[in-house]
Amino acid sequence: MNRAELEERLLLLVDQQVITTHASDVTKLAFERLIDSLNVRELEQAEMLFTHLPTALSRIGNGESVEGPAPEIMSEIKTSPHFHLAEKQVIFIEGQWGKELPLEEKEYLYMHYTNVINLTVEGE
Amino acid sequence: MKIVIGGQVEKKEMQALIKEIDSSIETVIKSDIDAAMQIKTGKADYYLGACHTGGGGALAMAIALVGMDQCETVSMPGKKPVENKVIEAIKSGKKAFGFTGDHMETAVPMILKALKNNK
Repeated sequence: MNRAELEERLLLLVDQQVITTHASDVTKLAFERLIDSLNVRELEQAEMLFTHLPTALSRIGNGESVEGPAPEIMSEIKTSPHFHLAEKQVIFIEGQWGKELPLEEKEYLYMHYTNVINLTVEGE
Repeated sequence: MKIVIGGQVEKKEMQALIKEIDSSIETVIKSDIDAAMQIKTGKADYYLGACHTGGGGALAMAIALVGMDQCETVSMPGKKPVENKVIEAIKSGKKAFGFTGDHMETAVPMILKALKNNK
């Protein structure tokens, strides 16, 4: 996924009020942050992360909540060599969002970020 | 009947499951945007998609392209598919269905059964 593909996706979602403008703005910044962190121009198979992220932020903004991933999945994700970078990306998102995200939502983001970083850095 | 498989995860597994239940159903796997466009342009009858939370990657682009009134979140983490809600959604004309990947084995047969009974 490149910057133009992200813009197209977010524009559709904002236009149809599936996500908020603030969620879209934070997602664009999060995308920029990740490509800078990895020193790449494109991210591998990032559509899921960058669709999940703005919809999750919009859901949080609406006061909705979800259960987190299964504990065994989280245990596995925490062993990834990319988990620390994933955590840093989520801390950045919280800073841009303006408040801390619920743990359950952060866990889904760790999962998505770890996967995308792994695919981008190490390939499929 | 033609079902387009969009969403973000378990796409091939979903296609195999649909074929196992009813081999006469035509299926095609697309990206979430392309899959939603198939519904919007009438090239497919129904959209099925899965993601980790059921309503994000599974359905977001379908909601954007075909409208919330055509979309149903069948399951979310900790909220299993409910047959009566699926039946009601299909009766009311909804065409796009999203659910979590771990509920696929329950959601897909439930949706296909409801579609068959709605003919």
